[in-house]
Amino acid sequence: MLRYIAKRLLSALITIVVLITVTFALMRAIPGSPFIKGEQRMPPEVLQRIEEKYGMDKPLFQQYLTYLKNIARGDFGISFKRSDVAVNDIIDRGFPISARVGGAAVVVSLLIGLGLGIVSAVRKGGLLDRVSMVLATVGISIPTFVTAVLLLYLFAGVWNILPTYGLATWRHYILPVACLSLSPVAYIARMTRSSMLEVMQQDYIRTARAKGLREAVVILRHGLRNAILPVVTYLGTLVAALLTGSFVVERLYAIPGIGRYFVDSIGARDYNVILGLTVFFGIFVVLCNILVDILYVLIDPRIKMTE
Amino acid sequence: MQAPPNAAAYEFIPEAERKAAEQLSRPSLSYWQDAWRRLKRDRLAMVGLTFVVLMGLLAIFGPMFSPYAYDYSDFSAISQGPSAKHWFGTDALGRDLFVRILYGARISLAIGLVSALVNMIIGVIYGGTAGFIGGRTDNIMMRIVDILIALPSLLYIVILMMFMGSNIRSILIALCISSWVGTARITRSQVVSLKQQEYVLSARLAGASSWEILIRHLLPNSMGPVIVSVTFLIPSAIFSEAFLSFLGIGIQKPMASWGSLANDAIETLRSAPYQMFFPVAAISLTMFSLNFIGDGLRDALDPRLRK
Repeated sequence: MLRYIAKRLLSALITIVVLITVTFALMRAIPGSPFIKGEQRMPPEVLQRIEEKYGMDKPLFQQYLTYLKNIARGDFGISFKRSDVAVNDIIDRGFPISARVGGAAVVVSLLIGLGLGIVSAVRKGGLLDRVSMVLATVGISIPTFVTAVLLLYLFAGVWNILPTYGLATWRHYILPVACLSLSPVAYIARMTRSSMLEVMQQDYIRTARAKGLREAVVILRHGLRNAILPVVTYLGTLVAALLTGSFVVERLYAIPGIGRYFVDSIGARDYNVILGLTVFFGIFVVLCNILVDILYVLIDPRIKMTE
Repeated sequence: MQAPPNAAAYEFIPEAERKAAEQLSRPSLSYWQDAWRRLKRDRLAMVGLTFVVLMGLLAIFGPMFSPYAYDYSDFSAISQGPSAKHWFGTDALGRDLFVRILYGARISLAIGLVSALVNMIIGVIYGGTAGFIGGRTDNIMMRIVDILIALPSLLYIVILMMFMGSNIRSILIALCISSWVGTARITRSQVVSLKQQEYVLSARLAGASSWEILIRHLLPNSMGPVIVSVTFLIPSAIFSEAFLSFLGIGIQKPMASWGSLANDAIETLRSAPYQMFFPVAAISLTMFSLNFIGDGLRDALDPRLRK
């Protein structure tokens, strides 16, 4: 168990180092980057700060080490466009907001997705099963920006019943969370359904029924607990998907989250902010995946034997 | 075998016909013929296939017959709703939306097909080599894949796009760098399990070289699951392009893609919702169709997965 976790942590560390290295290489290669001499169209005070910070007069390898060290200290760099903006400010301001919306979306998609999946598996072929599987295909096929625009248009444009700008009250959360949850709900429902169908045919389910347990207990404690494993693996990806999905949603619903800043920086061609945020996202995603892997071992003791 | 309900089934049949009927075996079908037969029975997949083929034909030939060019502005017909003259209406610059959506279809379908093809080639070669050589080479190659899978690829696509400039070529390159890893994993696991089969041993005994075994036996036999996974790459590539163009870093004006058309329509959403409706419908229907084809192919090509 400990060995497994150590191994996963090590591979996560390698992934993060690769991620930082790639980012560093891209930063040096991007045209218009201040790291290329002779292309310096930025305010002189920004240039000076950057030169101090990254030791630009030092050899390449040393610059790389400085960059690594900065990130290890949790410093994701500064804007190339405005001298008073650090990537960390953006993260401090934007991340809690994105996390609230994204977290709500994770909870909603788990509740609805698992619920739909269980019901469709238990009542296979029933009306709800067919409806929820159609819904699942819809959710998988329609891109987030399409749902975001459609909901915006219907609820705010045509019916005018929900607010769409910012996050002032709980009602502001409804539309963005709905947009973010649609495709995860679809995936989770599909996954839960197929793994529930498989699990419910196992011998231990028959045993549980033979013991005279109530059907709800059989389904939830014996069925779901085993069927939930693929869903757990998906959770790591889900967080990543919510982060990228949130670009569009935060932009359309004017939510001042981290994804919105990312999109704004793309528009402003502020490379350093983009790269800094990418490293932050990347490390976040890798850490989520690690947590999921460890969670997985805790839920399913059988993993230990195969590893 | 159940008795046929109608009396005609019991009538005597002429000698010649009887002889023919005694040929018990139906014509033997190859794997691909069999898969095609199964796919043909999947109604949703066939609807999807028809839709995609029609869309492809329209995309290739439609613009030739249209009186409008994709970048022709008619300033006397700005933001007009659908009419006999402009089937899907015109945009805020008086351009014909129908033709622009057809050009968008060209871009989306080309990106989907080309990137899926390239990803398949890279993934099959990489995964096939790793699985076939095995041992330490396999281990190292697959660790690299693990790292690449853990990176948030969409973010790196965004950065690469900014680095290489916004055009179809860079979208294709960015997509091809990131998404072959899944195909590589599947090919490798297929090759690893097929390697143990008797026919490989017999080919080896017959004096086939390793190269021949890989090309003639292992790769063709592992194609089923590979093709299924590649089919699902097409919608995800189309989605990525739409997402990038929607964020404004994909296809650039005056060229149109479905994502950029949707992006352009946000500003006029309230006054001219049809400008949003048509591109969004085109994306969603294509995604639906491709997902249905993918599901159908999975059922047809990978009988073990069928329930």
